[in-house]
Amino acid sequence: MSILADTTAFWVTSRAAGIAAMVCSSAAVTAGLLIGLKAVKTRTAELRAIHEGLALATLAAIALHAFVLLLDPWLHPSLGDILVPFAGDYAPFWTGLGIIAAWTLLALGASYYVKDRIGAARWRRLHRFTALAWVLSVGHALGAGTDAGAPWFLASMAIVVLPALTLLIVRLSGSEKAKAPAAPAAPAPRSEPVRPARPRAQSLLRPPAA
Amino acid sequence: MSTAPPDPERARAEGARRLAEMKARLRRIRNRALAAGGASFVLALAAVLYQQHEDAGRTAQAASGQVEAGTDESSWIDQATQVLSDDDHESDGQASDDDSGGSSISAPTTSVS
Repeated sequence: MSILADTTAFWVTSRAAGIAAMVCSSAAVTAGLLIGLKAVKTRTAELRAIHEGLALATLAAIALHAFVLLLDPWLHPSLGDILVPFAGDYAPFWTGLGIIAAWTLLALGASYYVKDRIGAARWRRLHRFTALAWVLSVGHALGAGTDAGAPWFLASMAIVVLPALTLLIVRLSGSEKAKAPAAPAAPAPRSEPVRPARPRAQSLLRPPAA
Repeated sequence: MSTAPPDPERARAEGARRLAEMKARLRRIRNRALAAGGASFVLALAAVLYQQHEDAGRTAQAASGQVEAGTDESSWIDQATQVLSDDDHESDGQASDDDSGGSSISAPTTSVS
């Protein structure tokens, strides 16, 4: 109880909220990537609900992480130090990364609720930046985290971060393959007749013109 | 055997009921995920408090170590003082040999005179 009684209570709460944000965001990214990769064939709606719940928990934890810091008597940051990237004195680079990640996650998370207004395709393109924000937040946690050297912290980070990171690499490598132009086909022997390429997508999606 | 024609009103009501059920179920799942986030905060708080306790213990240990080192230092100073004091006594002895007595301060004066 003496720990809570002294002035480090706000600092402790902020650290815990930051760790919770890291855990929830990593789990949310994992769920989101599982949906995006179509790795789970059934119960996609349930996975989507889990993704949404974890994303909301992340935003709440980030808000607590920042707000409680304002009350910390030792660090005593200003509102600008909390809200503006690279403005504070405490580990400015890593804290700045965290602030950028927080704003990005907030904006992209909130954009889900105005998806119809901005268009589903545009929203999906925007939503991909969530992964980038998450990577920045991992950098922030490892670079500026007070507990970054503690074994329990590193173990818990590994448990939640590594699956998400693996799926992200799989996703990125998959999209790179999709973007890469098709390798030129080997020249067909002259004896064989060259068949014209069939417009597959068109033939599958559209009925032949009358 | 003839089947009854489907009642469109009834089918619509059934569809709406199922949709509402599914939405409620998804909302429950989302709230559980949100609660899991809250649980992760409680766990993180416990871990940070443990870390804080460990750090406080380590700091106290380091402080007591410094005090012990300080004690050793003072004893070292005592020993050094003792050695210097012995040296003084030895030089006193030499002086007294040369000058046949007297204090170490007065000895040179005596020998010059």
